[in-house]
Amino acid sequence: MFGLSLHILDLIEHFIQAHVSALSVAVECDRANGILKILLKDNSTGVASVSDAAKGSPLKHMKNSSREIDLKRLNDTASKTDGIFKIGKGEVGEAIVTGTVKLDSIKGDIHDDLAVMLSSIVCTNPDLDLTFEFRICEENCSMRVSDIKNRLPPEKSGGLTLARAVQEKIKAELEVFKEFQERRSILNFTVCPFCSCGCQAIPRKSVQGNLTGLVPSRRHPVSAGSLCIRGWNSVDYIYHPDRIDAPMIKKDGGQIRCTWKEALETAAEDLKNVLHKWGPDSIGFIGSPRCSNEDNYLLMKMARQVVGTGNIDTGSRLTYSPIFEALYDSYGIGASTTSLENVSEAELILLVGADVTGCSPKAASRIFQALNRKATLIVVDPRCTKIAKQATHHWKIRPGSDAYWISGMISYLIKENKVRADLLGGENAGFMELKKEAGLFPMSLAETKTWIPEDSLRMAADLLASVKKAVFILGDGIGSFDEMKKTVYGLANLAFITGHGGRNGSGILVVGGENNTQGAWDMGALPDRLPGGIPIAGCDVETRARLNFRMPPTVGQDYRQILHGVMSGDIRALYVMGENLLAFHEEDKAFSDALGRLELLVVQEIFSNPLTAMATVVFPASAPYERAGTVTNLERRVQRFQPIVKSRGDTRPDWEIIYNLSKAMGAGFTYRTVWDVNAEIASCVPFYEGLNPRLPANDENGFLWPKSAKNENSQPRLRQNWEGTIHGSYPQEGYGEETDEEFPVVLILGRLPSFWNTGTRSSRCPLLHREENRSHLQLHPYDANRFQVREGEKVRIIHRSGIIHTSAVLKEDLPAGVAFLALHSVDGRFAPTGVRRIPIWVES
Amino acid sequence: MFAVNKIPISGLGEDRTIKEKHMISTILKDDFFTVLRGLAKTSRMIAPVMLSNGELLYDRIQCIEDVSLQPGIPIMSAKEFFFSSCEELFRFKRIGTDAIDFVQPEEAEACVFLGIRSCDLNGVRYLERFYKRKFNDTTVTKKIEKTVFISLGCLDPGEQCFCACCDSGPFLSDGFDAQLTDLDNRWMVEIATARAETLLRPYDNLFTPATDADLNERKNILSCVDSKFTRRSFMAMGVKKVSLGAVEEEVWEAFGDRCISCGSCVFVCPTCSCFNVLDREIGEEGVRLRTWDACSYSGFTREVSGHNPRPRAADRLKRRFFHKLSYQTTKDSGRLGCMGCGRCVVSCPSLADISTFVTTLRSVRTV
Amino acid sequence: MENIYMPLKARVVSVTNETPDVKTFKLRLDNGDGACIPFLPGNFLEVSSFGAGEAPFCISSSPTRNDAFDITVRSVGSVTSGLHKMKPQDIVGIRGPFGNHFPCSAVQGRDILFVGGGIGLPPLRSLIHYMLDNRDDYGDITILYGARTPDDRVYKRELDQWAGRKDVLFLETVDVGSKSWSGRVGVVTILFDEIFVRPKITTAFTCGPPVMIKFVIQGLLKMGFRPDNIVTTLERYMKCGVGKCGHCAVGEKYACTDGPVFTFADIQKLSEKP
Repeated sequence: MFGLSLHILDLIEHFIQAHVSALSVAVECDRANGILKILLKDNSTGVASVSDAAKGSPLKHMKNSSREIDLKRLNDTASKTDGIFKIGKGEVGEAIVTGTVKLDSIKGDIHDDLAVMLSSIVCTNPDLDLTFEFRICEENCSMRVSDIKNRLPPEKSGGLTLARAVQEKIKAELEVFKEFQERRSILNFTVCPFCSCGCQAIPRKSVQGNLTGLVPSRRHPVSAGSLCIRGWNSVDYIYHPDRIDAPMIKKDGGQIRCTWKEALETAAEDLKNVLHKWGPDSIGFIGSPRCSNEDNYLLMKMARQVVGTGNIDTGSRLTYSPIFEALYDSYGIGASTTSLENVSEAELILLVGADVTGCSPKAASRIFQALNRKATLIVVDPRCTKIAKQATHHWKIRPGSDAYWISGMISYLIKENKVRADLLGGENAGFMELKKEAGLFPMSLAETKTWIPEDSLRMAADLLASVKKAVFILGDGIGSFDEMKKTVYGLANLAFITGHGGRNGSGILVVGGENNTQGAWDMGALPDRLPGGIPIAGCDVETRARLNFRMPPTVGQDYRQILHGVMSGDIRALYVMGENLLAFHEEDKAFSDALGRLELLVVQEIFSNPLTAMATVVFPASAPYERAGTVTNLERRVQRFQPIVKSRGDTRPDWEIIYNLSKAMGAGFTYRTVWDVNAEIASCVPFYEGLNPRLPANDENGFLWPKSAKNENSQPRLRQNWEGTIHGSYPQEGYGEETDEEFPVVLILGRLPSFWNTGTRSSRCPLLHREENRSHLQLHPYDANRFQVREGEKVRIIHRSGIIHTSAVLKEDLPAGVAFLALHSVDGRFAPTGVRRIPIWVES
Repeated sequence: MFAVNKIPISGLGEDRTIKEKHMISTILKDDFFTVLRGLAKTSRMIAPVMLSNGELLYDRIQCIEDVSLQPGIPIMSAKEFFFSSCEELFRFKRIGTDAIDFVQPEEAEACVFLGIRSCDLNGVRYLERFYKRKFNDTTVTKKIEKTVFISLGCLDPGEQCFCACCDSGPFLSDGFDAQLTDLDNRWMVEIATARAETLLRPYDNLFTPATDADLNERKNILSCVDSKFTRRSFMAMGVKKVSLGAVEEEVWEAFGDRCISCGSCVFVCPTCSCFNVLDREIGEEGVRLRTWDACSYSGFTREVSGHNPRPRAADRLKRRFFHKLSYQTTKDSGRLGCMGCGRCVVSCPSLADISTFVTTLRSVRTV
Repeated sequence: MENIYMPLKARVVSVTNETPDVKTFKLRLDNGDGACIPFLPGNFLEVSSFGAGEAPFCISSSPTRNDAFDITVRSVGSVTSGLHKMKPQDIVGIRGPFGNHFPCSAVQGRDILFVGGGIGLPPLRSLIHYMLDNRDDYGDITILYGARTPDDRVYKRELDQWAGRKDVLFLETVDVGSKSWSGRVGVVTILFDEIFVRPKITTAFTCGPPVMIKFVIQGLLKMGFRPDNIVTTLERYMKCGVGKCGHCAVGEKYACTDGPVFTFADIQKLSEKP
């Protein structure tokens, strides 16, 4: 045992001699200031922790104590420690010993030291109620010796055995923290919380310790030394005054701030009531593709295990879930089948329905690299986007007709016998179906329906059949909710039959989502699937058993059905995490009223908004930079992010809130840190085995799931010879016909790079807000003429379910008959989302 | 070499960075670490830190063991310690609508900047000149004045480095207080200012004056380093063509089409100096902040009326390259606005950086 | 050494409503002795509405009547709407005066032609008052003013005063008339036909919306004016006012330190189109 621990031991002696019955030892590692804080406290009157002591909270349940600690002698001992320790007095005369030690003056291994020291105390004083807490970087571990004692068999809980058990326990706990100590670096990495690229960034702080910005990691395979406009300029929002920094509950017609205890109790109470009165299917849970894997996993666990409902889903239902489902059905995984690295090495890239330079800049960057290697780029987008300007071929497709060109190409390749027969394996039923109907979709039909010239389509098909490495990059612009799945089946089929489904550097990459769209899906925040995307219906007992749920999982309502349920009254309680349901539904008063009629509305958010204003209980969540966890990016890369700044006010990480609430409802599971949730995910979610924080090969760059059996650095390929399943993908009659006399122009909806989704965060960052502070309707001059609208004029966009107010800008590079509007809170309000195209009429 | 009117005429093979007036000595590396420990006790220190993934980053040092003088270029330039990415210009507290109190920002503190690369130090000096011109911006210049720079010459240029083409490295002849050369088991230390001399005097006994053999070794090192550069950017030609307006519109368009206006090149650049000023307030108290800004963003010049003089990425890129390659050479006594650090080469996602631009000019026929 | 970003405290002395969205604020330094910082016509101030931010405004009063600064502000953004909430005695911040100035002394003895449009009149007003207060130093003075509608005319009272003076020729027009408007209707360039100027001995000063300036300068050149005798102000988004932040840079010049006053000849020489 070395210096520091001996000092602590000396001081503890005094407490013991004074017959103190409960003692707490807390050690906090303050790496920002390079010091270790130590607190020793006579704990006979309550539970203490470093944070409590720091806040000076008065201890409750004071007992009359007959013990007397000789403060003078304690002082003498403390002063012998080179002034490291000081004596203070607690609220009621108890002694508190505090000390700060410079981190770099500590020689040797403090963890082992403390473990040995504490265990020796326990050995000689087995009746002392000792609490130990170690805190570092917003994570803490604490334990009471009595807990350890209780877990030992009675005959073995004597002094020496107990001491050994304590020592083992402390050492095991501190293993996790050891890696923090061992890193000489004083910086934690974080992952950018905006798009699904998942760039790794390093925080920069001012002298006062405020977060001033992020800089990119150079060696990271995604960020590669570069961030986008969002990554560089988006830390300001955590300091914005609109942050919710304390829990709130509805009382007397308004909302008041309250303690966590009150908020949790109210929510638990109400939830139990609703559960009892109306049953589990009256409760809905909305997860978030912006929250970490642990958050979504726990929400799913709470929904399925604690409440027993299957009504859990995220907003991705309208955008990315259909894509993942189609890929799952086709390839066995609900995710991209290739990686960013493969994009830069592709010979042919087909970019469909995504404006990558804005929504997934890293994918765009890899495309530029591929172009530098003379790759062919085909961009399928009615708009002349930045990436379209670089394309070898730009197909200005008629919006919503993707299924036709895909089918056209499939037909053509089948007829020309240019498919990869070796991969189709003999009598592939799906393929037979495709073959049967191939004649119905000649190239000429494709041209008529899509406005893409036949020759171009044929050229592309030939190229696809001949190159070795081809990548399909797919965004949610590929279609509206109702047809997306089928269209993606088509794309998956096309990739499969040409041998580019996910082998040898080819594959499909899904871009444009949020930072954890993939992870939220993988974690099973879905009504009809378990974690890993396994459909509940028909999944085997073993899979269910792995999850260890109290109740067997049931199929529930999806996002749209839950919201309809709110309107119809079937849903009585709603738990919303990180989603503003009213953002683009605000015009819809009926929905807003229905929300007001819920018996319980719990909203977990970082900023106040109209939804939080009507919530029964508001839980303030920590922002991404204030907490730890993992997220999964577009190429299935699972990455850890660390807290880089202290939590604002009284906020807590999402997972912790859900966990606290679950506990308040009587759940039996226990987690101490987010890494415990992590470990559980590793043990039961397919493909996430690599997540275990105690695995040695847990490198900073994360891993692409699935990790190989030997825990080596993961392969971007899935398997060498995988089998895909072909599903019917030919479009039905009448598909895609939407416009008519009344609504002759198709409006496609998109996004501005600096106004991210609903702008909750990005509009609160000054440079992002300044960048695109307006949105405009982009019209072709022909259509502008038709509607008699001039450049810059204010216009009303009229569609079947409402009106949007904005101003018009004339663009010649749009095809006639197509208009474009970017989501924006000032000029781009509309409802509902998830619809990518609407027929419109415009008037000034 | 012989001097004519005290200006030494240097020819090939001469070490043009060694000045006669510099005090040159060597010190064993272990001893130097002792010096650093001593310095760290008395002054604040900024130095490169090695992160857990092996990358380097300049940072404020709390623990001397964090200092890394390993080769490699730090992720960000040194400007963030002087021209901060988010700086409090002053705080204010309103008392009603008719009175207000100001709180001045804290005084800049003296510190030692150890291990700054030549390109980055040159960038700091450039910024010093810029922020002193006409109106002296003390929020930046004072910090620079109070810093003692112990720079580190690079022996291992990376693929992206072209400081030699910009007269900005790998070793400098002035601008530093002391310059280090890695002589394997020793450091060669050239002291150029009295400040550095005073700082290091207490450790005098650990230093040995440089011998001719040492100077020879240094000379060999320099010529060896020169040959390690793989990137040649013909900056002088770039300056000429851009200044004469002899770059065709198609070239600007091609680069503008590729530039996605992410701002990365601006934020990593040692000489970029544009900023935004905004107020942030909570209740009656507030602070006026200055944050980095980038001329690559379309909102940078957009006027309140909505009119934007530089609406296209090509316009903004044109402005940026003009600024770096042309105006600066006329305004700044012929010195280039680009330090050749190559960070923009690494961080540009679409090959629209200045080195690629200058190289492209070589192959494009001009008017 | 002083912090160049630290504003001086100034108090609002009076607020005048010029048009529905334009107000003129009279500001006086709150430094005890009420002294004014010397300035010349063409200079601008960086005015802070604390909490909203800071923005540049040209000084629309003349140094010859220098007990206070006048700034004329249209409410368009957060800073300007913050200022519009101010009442007399409220505190604002002032930095400056910055920028270059109109060539008041260089044009002594010459005839002067002012052409102002809408919210472009404020910078000219400073020079107009300066010249009227030093009337003998200048030859014929002609003032032409064009506004969008009669309600959008700024300094309505002073316009009437100028119209009444014998030593200047004041003509004005509006783009769109109204029932109560009995004056001319049309763009400001129609007034060129009604005046007689001798381009060789006249210097023209013009400020206004960019579109208006373009046509005015075209007209002036047609009348025979030389580019270096046409003086205008360059409009750019400005932030710091001291040539550091980079927002107002045009080519190799900064509009806040090398301008905002430029002759048309200077503008033609700029390597970037403004």
